Amino acid sequence: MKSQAKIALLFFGFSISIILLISAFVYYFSARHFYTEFNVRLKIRAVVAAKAVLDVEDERTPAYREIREQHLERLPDEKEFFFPIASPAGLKEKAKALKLPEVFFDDLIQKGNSTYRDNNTLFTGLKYQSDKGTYAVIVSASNKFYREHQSYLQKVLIGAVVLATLLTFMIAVIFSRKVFDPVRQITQKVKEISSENMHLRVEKKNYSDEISDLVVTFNHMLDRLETAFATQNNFISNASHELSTPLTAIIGEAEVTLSKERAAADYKDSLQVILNEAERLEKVTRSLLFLAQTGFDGKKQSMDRIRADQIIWDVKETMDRLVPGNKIIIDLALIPDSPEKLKVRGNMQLLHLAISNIVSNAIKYSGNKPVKISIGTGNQHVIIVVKDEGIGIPSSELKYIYDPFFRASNTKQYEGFGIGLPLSRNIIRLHGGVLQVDAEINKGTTVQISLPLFKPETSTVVI
Amino acid sequence: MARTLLIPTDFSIESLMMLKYASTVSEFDKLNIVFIHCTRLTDSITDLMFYSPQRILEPLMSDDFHEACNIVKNKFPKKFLSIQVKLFHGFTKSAFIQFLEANNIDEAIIPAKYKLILPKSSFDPVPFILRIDMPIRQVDWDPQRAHPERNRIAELFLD
Repeated sequence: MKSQAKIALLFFGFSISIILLISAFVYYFSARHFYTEFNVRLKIRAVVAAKAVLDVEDERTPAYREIREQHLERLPDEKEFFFPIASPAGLKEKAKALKLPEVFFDDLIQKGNSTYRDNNTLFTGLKYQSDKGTYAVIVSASNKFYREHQSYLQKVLIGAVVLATLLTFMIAVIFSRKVFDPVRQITQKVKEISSENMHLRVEKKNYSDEISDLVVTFNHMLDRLETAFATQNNFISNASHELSTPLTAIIGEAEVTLSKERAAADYKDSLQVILNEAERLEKVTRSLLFLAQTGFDGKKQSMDRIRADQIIWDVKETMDRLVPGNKIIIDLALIPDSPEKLKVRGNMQLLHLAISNIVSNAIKYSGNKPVKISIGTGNQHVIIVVKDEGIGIPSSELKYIYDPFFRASNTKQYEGFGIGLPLSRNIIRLHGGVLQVDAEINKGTTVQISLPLFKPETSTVVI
Repeated sequence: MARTLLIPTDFSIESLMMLKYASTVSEFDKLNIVFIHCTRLTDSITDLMFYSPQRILEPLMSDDFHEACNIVKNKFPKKFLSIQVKLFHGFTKSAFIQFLEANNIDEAIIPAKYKLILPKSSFDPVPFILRIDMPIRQVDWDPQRAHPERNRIAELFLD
């Protein structure tokens, strides 16, 4: 079932149950009120009748008679009975004659009054102490008028409920339609957007509510999708360019060499060129493969408990071999006291690759100025900072640095493919860490790597 | 003997340079750190009824600030007995002296050049501290230097 129908039904159900409840309430309490009121009327009549009939004649008796005859309207089927209470056996007979239950008289004698209802006829009894003895005064009458009132009320209520049902149903349908209108509009608009017209956005109404939030969220997602699309397109063109450059060089070199007979030394030279270019090509394809492997969690890496400072020392050793005379400073000013606080869960080779990429970038783009590697541990993360005094990155290009093959505009004189940083970030992400790059042009770049601290799964209790 | 140091803070990583400095001073073997943040008390009676220092401080302290504090603490785990953040709402010198006495402050560490970057309702305690006759150490670093890592934990690692 559609949400719209669900909402409509829910609304309808709630409203109808409330209306029904109110109607039932009104009906029940009105009926009860009619009944008690009629009983009170009968009781008054019983008292007046007793005073008029049973009491010894005195000056008040004519007044009671007058009230009875002139002011108390006869009720439909009104009857009066007077029985002396003195003989209980006689009362039972009377009860049988009038079709009254015996309880009626028992109540009357004990409590002084009682009521009984036989279909539409109501009986009210009263114990009356007169000068001639104790009497049971019973008045009965049919509550025909009240019955009519009640059935009229019933009709009115049923009519009202039927009308309310129709109205509620209509309102429910209109209401649910109105609620889901903006959602339907958004769906319509989003359906129109496909990979061909990624620039389209969902229109935002100028009020701020949940729907507008949804629209804004959608638009942000579209922004990201559009960027991702553009990145992918760029990636393909960059990758093919990067791959074809050495290939073109190889083909050109070979063609030129083959165009005529040459001396052995010439062949050697050109083969050397071809070898160099092929090596370059191999390097690019290998790093591409690595990027793909680390980017998509296709192959599970084996993770061990390793010491973060060990990685740094290893990286320094590698760099000393690759770039002799480098100025790497390892800063241990904030290294934690306890070695437990240096343990991270990770793959040694991958982390080594990631950090050596960053460090070699730092050395390369600073023209061998000092590079500082610092390490410290908070409560959740091990933080490694690599800081150089190099050329930096233009702030407008900072958001593209993780795109494969992207190279900042100020790096033309340096060799590279633009794969290192995205690869490093993939590796850090794989370890659940965060890589942050901040740069100031011509002043330097700072790379901050935070890796989650290794926490033993079972905590040891120290007694 | 444990000493209690007062350090003004604006909850930036850069201001933690003072904490880092305090950790390196060798004559302090045990330290209690009291970060002070001075802010005007609200005028609203309902706000005062539900006054809670935590509620004022929590939005100011970022996760990075906590983490950076922990980095310094982890370097010398035995040195730091406690690190607290205290609010000061007074205006007068005598109120400030009382605050110092109440918290058993032995010494204050203040920045030489750095100016605390504070929200509108807060004020800088450094002038207060300078006017009071108490032992002071100034930490000098250049806030104008090139450091792209502004507001990152990395800021703490600079020399």
